[in-house]
Amino acid sequence: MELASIVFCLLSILAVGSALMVVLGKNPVGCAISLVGHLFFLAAIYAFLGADFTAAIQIIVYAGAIVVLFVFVIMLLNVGPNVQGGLKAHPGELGVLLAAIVTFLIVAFNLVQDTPAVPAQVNSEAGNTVLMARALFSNYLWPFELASLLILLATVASIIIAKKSKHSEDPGR
Amino acid sequence: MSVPPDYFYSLAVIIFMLGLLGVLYRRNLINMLMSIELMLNAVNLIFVAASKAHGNLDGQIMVLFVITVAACEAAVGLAMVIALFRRYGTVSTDILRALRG
Repeated sequence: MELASIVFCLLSILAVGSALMVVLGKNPVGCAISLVGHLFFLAAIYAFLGADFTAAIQIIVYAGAIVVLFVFVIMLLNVGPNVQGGLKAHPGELGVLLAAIVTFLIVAFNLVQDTPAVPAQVNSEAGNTVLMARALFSNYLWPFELASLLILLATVASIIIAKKSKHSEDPGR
Repeated sequence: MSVPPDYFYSLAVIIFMLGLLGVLYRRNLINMLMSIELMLNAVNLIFVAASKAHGNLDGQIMVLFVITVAACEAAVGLAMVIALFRRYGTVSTDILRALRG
């Protein structure tokens, strides 16, 4: 077994394990920390694939911004492990079984068929970041600008949604 | 890259199914949002692996946009969680069941 396979196996085991901790964890703060770990392992897989810019973006945006937002909301709402943690009382074994079967089928189908690894030209003449910047600011300039508009809209929408309105003072159920 | 891309696809499918189960079976809205992030990450992994396997950068550009949309989704979703908590005093889907039918 060569080094790349060992690294891939290690990273995928860590990623799946941390994803399991996110899904099954009792404490929301622990889930958020596991999510940080999961995102870091995925960033390592991206770097392993040669997508270094995507790995950096993954760490900066996901682990740096989104998970911090999650932790901030958890702290703000004071959602402890004793309140509303855990899974549903009767977590419908049929759904879990179905998901397991579908996963097994797709994975088995993926692993059985033998596609040769295409030699990649992504990192050939210039760095990954340079090529991505060229593509992003030439072919994808319009979607890029639309993404900035989307972020602006999401910011305004979050503020308006989370703002305390005058009519919702009573905590009625 | 000596690891074939199918292995990455399989890993992504496993992570996606874990996220789907989390969305379906968690009772906490914040945990459900985290599971949605897991699913988006699995799709990102497929994009990057396919981009590498085909020698085409468009997949990584798509990952950039998916991360943008995920950030917006997390911000709006958490704002809705805060508004719901302020209105009902809970984030549990056992109590917030007006749309369950």
